[in-house]
Amino acid sequence: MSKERDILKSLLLKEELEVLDHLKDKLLSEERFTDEVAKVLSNAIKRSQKTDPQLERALEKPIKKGVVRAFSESKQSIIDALLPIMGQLIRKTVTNSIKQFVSDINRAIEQDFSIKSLKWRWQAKKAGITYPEMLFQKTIRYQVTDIFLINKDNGLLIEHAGSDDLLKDSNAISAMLTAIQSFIGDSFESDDAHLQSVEIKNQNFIVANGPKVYLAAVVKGNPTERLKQKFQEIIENIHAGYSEVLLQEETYQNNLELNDYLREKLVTKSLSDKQKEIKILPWILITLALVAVLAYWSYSRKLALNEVVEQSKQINGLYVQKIERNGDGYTIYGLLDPLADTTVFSNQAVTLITKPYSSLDETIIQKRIHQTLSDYNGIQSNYEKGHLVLTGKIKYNDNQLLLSKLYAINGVEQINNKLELTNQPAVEKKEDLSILFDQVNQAFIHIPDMKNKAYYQAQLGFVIKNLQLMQNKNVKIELVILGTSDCSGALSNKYSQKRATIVNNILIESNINPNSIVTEVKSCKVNNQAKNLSLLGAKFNLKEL
Amino acid sequence: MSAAKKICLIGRFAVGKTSLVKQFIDKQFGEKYKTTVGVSISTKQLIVEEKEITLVIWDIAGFEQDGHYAHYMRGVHGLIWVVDGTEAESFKIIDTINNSLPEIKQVPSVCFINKCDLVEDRVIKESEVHALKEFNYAVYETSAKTGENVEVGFTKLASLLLNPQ
Ligand SMILES: Nc1nc2c(ncn2[C@@H]2O[C@H](COP(=O)(O)OP(=O)(O)O)[C@@H](O)[C@H]2O)c(=O)[nH]1
Ligand SMILES: [Mg+2]
Repeated sequence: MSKERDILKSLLLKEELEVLDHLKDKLLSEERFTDEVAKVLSNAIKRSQKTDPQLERALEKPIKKGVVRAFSESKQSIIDALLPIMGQLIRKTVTNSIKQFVSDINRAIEQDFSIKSLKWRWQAKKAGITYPEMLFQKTIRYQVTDIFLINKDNGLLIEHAGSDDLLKDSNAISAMLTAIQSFIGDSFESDDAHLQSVEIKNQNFIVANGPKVYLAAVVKGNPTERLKQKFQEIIENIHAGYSEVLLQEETYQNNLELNDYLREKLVTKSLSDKQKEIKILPWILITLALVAVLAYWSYSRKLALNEVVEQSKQINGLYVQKIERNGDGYTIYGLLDPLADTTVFSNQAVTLITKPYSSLDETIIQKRIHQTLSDYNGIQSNYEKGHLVLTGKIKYNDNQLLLSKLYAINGVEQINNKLELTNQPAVEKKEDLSILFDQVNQAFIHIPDMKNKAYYQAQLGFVIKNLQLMQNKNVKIELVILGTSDCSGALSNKYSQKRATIVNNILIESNINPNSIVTEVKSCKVNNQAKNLSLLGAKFNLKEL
Repeated sequence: MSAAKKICLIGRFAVGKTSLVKQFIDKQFGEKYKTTVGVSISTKQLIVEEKEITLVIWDIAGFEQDGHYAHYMRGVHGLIWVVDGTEAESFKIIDTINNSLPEIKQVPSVCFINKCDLVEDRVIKESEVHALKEFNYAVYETSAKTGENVEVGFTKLASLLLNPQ
């Protein structure tokens, strides 16, 4: 029955069945092909990678993408996988820095309130290093007497720097340390567990581990975490700098450069003589207590004190250094210009204990000017910021003296002399002119520096007047201006010339005929005389032609 | 500065390793540096064929503990296998040598059949001696007690280290 049906089926559906078979074949072969490819895939990749870089390049991008996706989708499992490696690294770093920090802090707290610490803070500041660093330098007492550099594998000594005591045993010590290291590694079944310090032959060894070699240092005294850290740095530097020779046993104990390097690391940190440290913390507390007691007492008097302070500020020419309570009143210590007005305090219980000084207060300067002018009648003054204007009348003969007195006042820098000269000597007759000549020839113009032109002008006032008079009377003259100096230096003559020129220029500005003027220098024979400002200036030699 | 070489003595408990080293060394660090880690270290300077050599001798105990001694063998230059001629158990070292890592097999080595002064107690067979000779450059009948062949054996190893075959 089924046979007939099959025949019927094949007759009716022949074409359809063929298509179906073809499809089925194709499907199956694809699966078979996949199977086949899977078998050879890994080998194919291996071979292709050797012969053709294209594959690697083609895979690069999808792999990168895949890794990134894997990371973002399964962060935790990747972290878990990395933790054993990373964790150790991180823990090591963190514990090291915490240890270091703690030991620094401990030391800092111990030392912080001593007088010495203040000194060290200051020294650290001067030296441009941090306070903990200075602390380290100052407080640590230890000595690194020996350094062994040891092959981690077989314990052979690579180099030893240090004392002769241990030199003869150095090979054995190196081996012993390494044996101990191996034992620890063995016991903890970890290559990472390692010796950090050990005592052998009453010597304290500190061990710093590196990948190929390790370092063992004999430290006397109190090694710090910082020192251990330093050894760790040294061993890292050695690995970086000497990596090629570290495992060349034929160079062992014969590498001068490496030996020198280790020798440099032998250090002694010593405390200077243990001075008795004065703890100032208790003193601070006692002082604070005293201050608290006094605070209330002084509060009640504070207002009065403030008043005195305010008043003293008002007084020009009083420079307050200290105000002290004195029974019911106050004593003010300070500097006082003799011209200062202290009448404010006259009706108060204020005592002034002062030293005289010359104040540059504008009002005090004005007072000084007024005091100077009080010897003369009919002169008005106006002083502002170093500049003094004089108006009114003055006797011809008094003019120069007044000007030099005014210039002597501290704070008077320039004088604008608008004074009208009275009582000028008569110059009617020819013989009267000789007075004018004498006046000029006796004059000395003081020129202490080269800057204060107003001062020179003021001094030259009567010289100019006299010369103008002669010019007006057509008296033919020759004026020699003689620059003078104190002959105190090599440039004395040069400056003398300059002084003569200054006078010359002022005269010409004042319409004195330049043709009648000659400048000369009163030449120095020696130039090592004592300094004497009063000799710096100019003289005249005036002749009638 | 003379070349330093690390040599290890390996053998069962009480075969006489420590006694052999004591015998060989006039000056000894082993006692001073005795540790709880199962290794005694001694050093000895020799002049062999006009060359200076410093032997750093690792006397390793605890051979019975599996793999314990392997840690101490790292970077070793020469080995001394020690058996006790009067103690059959100590010959099991032959199996150990047989099964040891190829890098250990390549290390220059000598073998001491110790306690040779105890002639009457000798139990080691010729076949076993032969087996030991296969794995070592030289096999010595030694006595830590009388000093027989001790210096000779150590010196032979030293010369092997100075002149690799
Ligand atoms: N008669 C004799 N006794 C020995 C000899 N070597 C070692 N011994 C003894 O054997 C025992 C074990 O020796 P020891 O050196 O501690 O063996 P180790 O465990 O291999 O270090 C000690 O009692 C030694 O005195 C030897 O050559 N002859
Ligand atoms: Mg022993």
